[in-house]
Amino acid sequence: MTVPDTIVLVLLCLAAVVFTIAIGGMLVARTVLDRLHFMAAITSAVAPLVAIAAAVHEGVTLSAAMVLATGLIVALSGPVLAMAVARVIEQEHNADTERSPE
Amino acid sequence: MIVWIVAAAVLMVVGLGAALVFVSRGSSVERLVGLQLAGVVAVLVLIAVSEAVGQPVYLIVPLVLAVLAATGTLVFTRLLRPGAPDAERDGQ
Repeated sequence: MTVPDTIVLVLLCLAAVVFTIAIGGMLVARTVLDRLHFMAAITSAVAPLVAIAAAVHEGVTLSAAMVLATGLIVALSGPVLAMAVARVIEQEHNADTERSPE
Repeated sequence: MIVWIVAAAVLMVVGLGAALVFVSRGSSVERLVGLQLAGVVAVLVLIAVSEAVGQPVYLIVPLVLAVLAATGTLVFTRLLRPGAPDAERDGQ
């Protein structure tokens, strides 16, 4: 097994561990906001790890740049989407409070 | 190659299975989180499959999907916002 293969294996194992923990956390989380926190772990850690592993596997090529760009897009869009979803949750909560007879 | 096949299988079974659970129950926002998870997992699965079959040309598909999935989720957050035209119509 060569050095790049070892790096790929380590990165994918790390990604699998984080992914399993995050999915388990999402399944046991009670609120949507808790699920969003675990979702952030997937977008901010798992996606870049898989992308870096694929880039190492590809070597210095245009494909490696493409897969790194994909990982970057997922990592950057994750917090933006989490914030947008959390804002909708907050607006729904406020709307329910305003409609309350109390 | 085998490690990429295993990665794709794990991502598909665990990730898409959980995403299917999330999008099939709960409120609209809870389902939206499931949709977001499905988009991210689909991107990762496509990367793993592309590496497994040894066709780097296929990597353009997850690149496009990453952009479209994020944009689609943002559109859904706009439509699900209280006060949006569709939300008011559903509330009546």
